[in-house]
Amino acid sequence: MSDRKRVTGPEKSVAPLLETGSVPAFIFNPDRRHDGRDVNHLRPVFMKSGVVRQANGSAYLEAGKLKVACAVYGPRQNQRTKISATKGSLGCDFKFSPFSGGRRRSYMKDEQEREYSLVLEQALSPAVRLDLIPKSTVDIFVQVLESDGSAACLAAAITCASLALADAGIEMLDAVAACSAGYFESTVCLDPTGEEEAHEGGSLVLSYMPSLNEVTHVIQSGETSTATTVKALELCVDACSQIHAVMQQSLIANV
Amino acid sequence: MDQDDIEMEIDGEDSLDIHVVTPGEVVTRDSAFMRGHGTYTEDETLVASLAGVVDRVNKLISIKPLRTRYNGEIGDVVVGRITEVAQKRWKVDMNARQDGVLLLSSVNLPGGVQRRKNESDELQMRTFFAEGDMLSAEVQAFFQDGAASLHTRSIKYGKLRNGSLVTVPSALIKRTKSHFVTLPCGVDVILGLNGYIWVAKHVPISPEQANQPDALYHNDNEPIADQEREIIARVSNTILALAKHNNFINDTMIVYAYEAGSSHRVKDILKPDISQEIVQTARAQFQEAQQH
Repeated sequence: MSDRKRVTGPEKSVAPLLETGSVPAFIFNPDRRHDGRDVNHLRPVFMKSGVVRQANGSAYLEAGKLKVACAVYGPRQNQRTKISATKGSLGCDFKFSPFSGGRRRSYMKDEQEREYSLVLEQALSPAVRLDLIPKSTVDIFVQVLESDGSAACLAAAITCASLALADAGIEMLDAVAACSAGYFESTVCLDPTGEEEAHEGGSLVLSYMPSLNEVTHVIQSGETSTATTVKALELCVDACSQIHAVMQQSLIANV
Repeated sequence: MDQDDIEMEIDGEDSLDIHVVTPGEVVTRDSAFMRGHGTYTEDETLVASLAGVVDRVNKLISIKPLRTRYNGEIGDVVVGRITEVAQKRWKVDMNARQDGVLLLSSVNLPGGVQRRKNESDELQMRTFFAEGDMLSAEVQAFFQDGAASLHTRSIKYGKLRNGSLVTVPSALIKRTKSHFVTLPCGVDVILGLNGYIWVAKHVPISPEQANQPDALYHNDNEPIADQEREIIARVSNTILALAKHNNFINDTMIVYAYEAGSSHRVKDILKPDISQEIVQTARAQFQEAQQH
């Protein structure tokens, strides 16, 4: 009798068909990006708030292949008593779905997800009026359904979370919009896709409150010059204002 | 929309236009207005900090969001659930930013005995209210940190039995003279201002019964017949249908919607087309009643 615990494969096995050599090497060309955009153009963004029923506030964001969902619970009594009693706190949780793209991710939070959770909290805290909700926490859960560029994911998560916070009726100084940029030597390319990101020399993610004209968070990595950074910041600020307009529209549509 | 348009809408007394704002949007630059909830001032301009509808009372501007946590006021009737039994107090989930607090000193003792609470009462707190129990209470005061202090020192308030909980957005509950209503169909409804509604079988309580030692805090339901259960479910679904269409909820509205839906089966009331039809009929009936 055969071993029941062993999964026997088919008798005849066939090697998978691999495409070899036919894929052209990716070359970044500032005049013609793969999706036909200009270097200073964002992917078209779609946002919708109020998508998760049981959450106090929620939002969904889609830009090209990038898909992010966010749910906000609270403000509710914080369970840990150690936290400052005069201010509220934000609890952020950023997670890539296992199937979100490229290599399959684990269910456990990895280093990158933990870092992004922290960035999310840092980017949103200045905007939320935590002084009005002492002893309470607001829990923000961001789930990336499909990723296309990790910096773009982070930016989308910040935007989406801010929209969900507004949907939850949590007081904020302003809605936070975020945008990413990639450096290709001296060229700055807005909202790089995953393909472009693999070839960039550095990246920048800016979180910005357009109505107040204030930056809440900047994160930059890679090698760059001052002039390039300044250019990237200016581009991002403009792009954030565009994103903010979309956020406003989707909020008004849902109120 | 540019600035002039916004100000015009605010100044237009008789315009019924609803002005919707988002966080960070300038509401007005006129310093004559006072800032209310959901707004803050930045260099003499009044800026919204919530997404919602601008609400103006004389010179006071506040923003009313549609979906938010319950913001209590003293005297509000609330329905809540015990989450924790602590030192001399219970913690109550009432859909607010923080758990409400029900002090041992603000509940009635079984049998209506009037005396100070001592250690032995403290030890039997769980026999009064245990975790998971539903209760109705009134907001008595607020603590420094904004947590509400509740009390049940009236025969009206106390443990809830014989029914089911319906949860709706707290903004939909209208403040009325009485939040304890008995509907014509023989069902008691407690409209908690925090958005929790208790729908229960009507059980008349005589004064002698109320003074029985265990009348206040016992945990046993009355026998509820199938027909009564159906009516409770029908009322619950009717309330949910009203909430689904963002209709305000008070006793008359529930009665109208209940009547409008009486020809449908209980489980059909929540179907999209039927619930819409019910709510529209109820709304029309309500407006007609208003005109007379």
